[in-house]
Amino acid sequence: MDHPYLTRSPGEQTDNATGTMFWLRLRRNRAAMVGLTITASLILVAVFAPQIAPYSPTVGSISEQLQGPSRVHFLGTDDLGRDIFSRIVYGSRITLQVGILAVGIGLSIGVILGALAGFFGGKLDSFIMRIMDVMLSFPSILLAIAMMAMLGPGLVNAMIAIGVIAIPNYARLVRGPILAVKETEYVEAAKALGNPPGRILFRHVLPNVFSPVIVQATLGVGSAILEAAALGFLGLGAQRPQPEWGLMLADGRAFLIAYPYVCTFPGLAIMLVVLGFNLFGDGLRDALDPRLKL
Amino acid sequence: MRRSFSLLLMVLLLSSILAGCAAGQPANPTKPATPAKILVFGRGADSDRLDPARTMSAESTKIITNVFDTLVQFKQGTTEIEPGLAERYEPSPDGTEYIFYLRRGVKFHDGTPCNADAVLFSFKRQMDPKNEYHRDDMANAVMTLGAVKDVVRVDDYTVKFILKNPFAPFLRNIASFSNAIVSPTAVKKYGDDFFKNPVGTGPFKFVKWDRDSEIVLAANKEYWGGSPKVDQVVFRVIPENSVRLAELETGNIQMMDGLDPNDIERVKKNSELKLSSQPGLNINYMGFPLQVKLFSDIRVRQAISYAINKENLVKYLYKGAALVATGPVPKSILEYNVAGYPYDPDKAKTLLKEAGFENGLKINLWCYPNPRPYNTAGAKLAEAVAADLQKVGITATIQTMEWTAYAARSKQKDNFDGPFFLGWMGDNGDVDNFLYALFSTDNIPGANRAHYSNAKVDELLLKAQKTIDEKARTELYRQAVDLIVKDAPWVFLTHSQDMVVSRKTVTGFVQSPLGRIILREVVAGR
Amino acid sequence: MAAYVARRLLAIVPVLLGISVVVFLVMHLIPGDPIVVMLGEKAPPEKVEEMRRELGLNDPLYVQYGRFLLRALQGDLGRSIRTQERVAKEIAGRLPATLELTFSALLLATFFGVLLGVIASTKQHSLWDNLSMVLAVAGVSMPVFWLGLMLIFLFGVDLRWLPFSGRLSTGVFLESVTGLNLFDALLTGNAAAFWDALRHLVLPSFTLGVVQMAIIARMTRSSMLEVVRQDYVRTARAKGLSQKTVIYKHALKNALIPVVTVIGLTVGRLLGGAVLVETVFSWPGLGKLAIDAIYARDYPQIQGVVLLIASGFVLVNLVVDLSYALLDPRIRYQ
Repeated sequence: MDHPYLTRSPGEQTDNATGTMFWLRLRRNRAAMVGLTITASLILVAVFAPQIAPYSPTVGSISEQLQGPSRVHFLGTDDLGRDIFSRIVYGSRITLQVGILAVGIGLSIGVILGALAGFFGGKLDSFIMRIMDVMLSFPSILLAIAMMAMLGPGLVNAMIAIGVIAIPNYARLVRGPILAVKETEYVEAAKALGNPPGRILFRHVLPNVFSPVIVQATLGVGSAILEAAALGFLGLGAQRPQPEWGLMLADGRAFLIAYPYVCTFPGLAIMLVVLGFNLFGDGLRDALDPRLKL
Repeated sequence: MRRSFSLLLMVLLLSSILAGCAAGQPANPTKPATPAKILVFGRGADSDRLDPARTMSAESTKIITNVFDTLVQFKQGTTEIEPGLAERYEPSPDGTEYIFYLRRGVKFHDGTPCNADAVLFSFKRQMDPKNEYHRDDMANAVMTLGAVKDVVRVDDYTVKFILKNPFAPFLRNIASFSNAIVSPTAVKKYGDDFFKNPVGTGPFKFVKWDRDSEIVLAANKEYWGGSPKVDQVVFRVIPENSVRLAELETGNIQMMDGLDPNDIERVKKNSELKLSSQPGLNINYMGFPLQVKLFSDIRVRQAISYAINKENLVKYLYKGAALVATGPVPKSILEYNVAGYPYDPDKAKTLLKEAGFENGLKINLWCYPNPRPYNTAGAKLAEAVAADLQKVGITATIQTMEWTAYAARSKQKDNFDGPFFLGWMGDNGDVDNFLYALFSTDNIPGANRAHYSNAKVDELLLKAQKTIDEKARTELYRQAVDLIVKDAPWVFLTHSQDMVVSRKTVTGFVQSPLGRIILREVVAGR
Repeated sequence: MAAYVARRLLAIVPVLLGISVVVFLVMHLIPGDPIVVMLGEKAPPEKVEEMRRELGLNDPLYVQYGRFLLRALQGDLGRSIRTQERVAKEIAGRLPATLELTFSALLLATFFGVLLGVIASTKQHSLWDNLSMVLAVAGVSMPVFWLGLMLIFLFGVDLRWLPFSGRLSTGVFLESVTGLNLFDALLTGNAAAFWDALRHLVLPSFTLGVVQMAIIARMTRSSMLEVVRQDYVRTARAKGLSQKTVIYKHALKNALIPVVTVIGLTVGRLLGGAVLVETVFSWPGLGKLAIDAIYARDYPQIQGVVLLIASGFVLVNLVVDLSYALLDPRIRYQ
């Protein structure tokens, strides 16, 4: 019963020509390629952490504490004698996990809420969007801290808190375009053909907001990592002895003057990785839709 | 509209130029031109309430002990009692009455004379719930004045305390900061806000308090014990340890506490700085939840006690700024000789095998995240201990909870399912303040968080409270310590050093074993 | 326009109510007993229970919420559990410090953000463009507290150019009129204090502002690029107006309209960032107060601070929305 011309929405056009165009545009963007390289390396490091790291990330010999960078310990050791390089390498797994899961939570709930609000409109719309307004009016870090205080500390709870505070971003992002799309001819046509609303929503409306959501998600991974680091810094994120970067920073800051490298390297690692996601996200935006404003 | 935008731009430009100039200006043109001798003391957190009866915070005590006096006080640098506002005192032969003869001519900072009425006022407001100036948060009274039946006025400068029974720690309790004498006029004037406007008889007068920023005190030139050597003391709040040390190194502050142990070496190498360090009146411990079946087995407790390398903790985690604890009480207030549990992983393994855990054991290890005065390493202590336990086949998972929640949980009946880290700081230098509070059955629930209960120990501790003769009392405490150590309800970890860092130009500072910061004799050179 | 203002005002009522519910609920779901904090570690349990009754902490939640809301509407936010100080008064005491910090961060962020953005857009794909955009991306990629610490050790400790903790040097006297140090110094004609206060502001406000600076720079750049392609700009060029006039008089003015909205959001983010920055720079403001209160489970204080920050954010955005509507009449009819 499908009418190819009537039911296919513009967002579904993923034929080879546009795909190649997209890739070409992305390739031309040097910053984006740097971002992609960093992001890809992060994934590689995370996957091959046991092969890359020369020592255990959690167990060290306390008598070898606080050694500066050397050939034995590439980035030195921390105050419990653990190899900082190995901790950063293993920590990339946590970082990646936090980024992906937090964004996953925020994105899935946010997109669904935004889509429902935009598609059905009316009371449901204003109810959902008012809640989003309320959430947006809290400084996100305060909301995350409050949630962590409620849920208790721990990495999983940190991911949930960071994911939840990102929900309104996605909901708002999705609602606008959907409001616009649902009035368009092809959606009207799909309705006229008797397609159920759920099917219309998922097949014809949602694909249209694919690009902005992808871009927002990529940038969102960066901010999720920063927020996790902030929670770690406040002692609310990962549990010891997990080598979470924010926690490493927090531990090192107490003696930053005497042993600066304990704090500097995890900080640089965070910066580099977030920079990677941001550059890549920007590149994606430019390549997918240069007029997109995020 | 165009105009408003260019105006905005102008303002922005101007402000950034100013900011830019500021950034490029190395010299400090606002060097205080005042000849006043100001001493700035940096610390990590602000006080809560500056009313002696209404606070438990160590940060408030720092101010209170400089603004207020007690009837009797601790001799500088010791936990011995000497006369304070009372120039002499007399216990009755049976130890149930104490008469205090007040120093004459002493005035509060607001001019009110400090006489028997003022002393009565200070104690009555704490002890009598119906007193107009009593507040529910005067919780210290239960601890320090529990044995007092009544306080009566004998004449203008004489007061008498009547006790329920002989109570050996009484004098030290009277010297405790919470029993400082407050100006009745000021309490009546400020009511609930007295804690923001403290008025005492001490060497320094309160000037102002900017929350989370600074508290300013000025010298009380008429102090009965002689005028302080500096004109003004400023207590500044600088939360980050490293930033505080940086402020000291650059000379913006003259003294600080809360030194990270990893910075000790740096301080020692700096010829402009001076580190004062002495054994603190505290115990850093890992308690066993005795209500949990696994830990009711003494072999498990002893095994874990042997498995932890306390020497290494002191050497590396605390950088020497702590003493290994062999029992619950610091040696500075109770001399005793127990071997305790020296590091012996083989013995630990043997004991575990006897208890039926030769194939290892999985436990939770509970800790608070941030440093505390008795444990400057915070949750890293738990990491170090977990590494030691791993070596004898015990896999410990660290669970941390933010301090307030942690402390609240530790008070519950079913507090934890595994060993937990805590500590205790002595309030008054009396052994009773450690042993009775921490190990008597009376203090479950309460400070006895391990839920340790041993009838023999209870008997000894109660007997000691009523024994006035110091020698006999000490003997009773030694016996109690022996029993407690044998039962191993805790792993006795360390006694941390109290550390204060100052610029070399600061002289005359003597540390107090109670961790008090007494600034009366301090001279601040530039 | 009046109808639009009324509609917008009405719309924030449920949001403010929602904020109050969230603040109230979240704080009560947090485990941990505030009374233990209040009475201290060594307090006997009977006393704790008595205190709970007295403060009404044993009442049903909705009763407690009703009480909280009624009092809050009268400006009574209760007393802090830790300090026994009235929360409203405590907040009023801290507000100036945070205002001063966020406002100067906002100025820095806006000025340098717009500057970087304009430079980048006028010289698209040039070295300048790349450099300022890399700076901008780096700005959003750094953990704020880490940047703060690094700046302290570079400019404060190593170079000793700038003070790095507190708002004024000890010994510098300043009469407090408004609590805003710069303003007070101007009012009382105290040049030394003005200079000292300004120097103390540099590092924290830069640290706080840098992320927003980056965001504003990117926003300005893309907005400028779009405007430059518009007809009226082409017309202006065609008329033979100089590049400078075109950019600064015609293009920038219009390009800045969307930037204004970003600035509204910026205020909220700055208030959030202040939480960490104030701790690092020993800045006695609301952010530090909020963190301490959360750690200490000081319910009334957390409620007060968060309520104020969130409502402040809503109001700032309202003002931004209204001025936006004033600038661009099309908005009102959407």
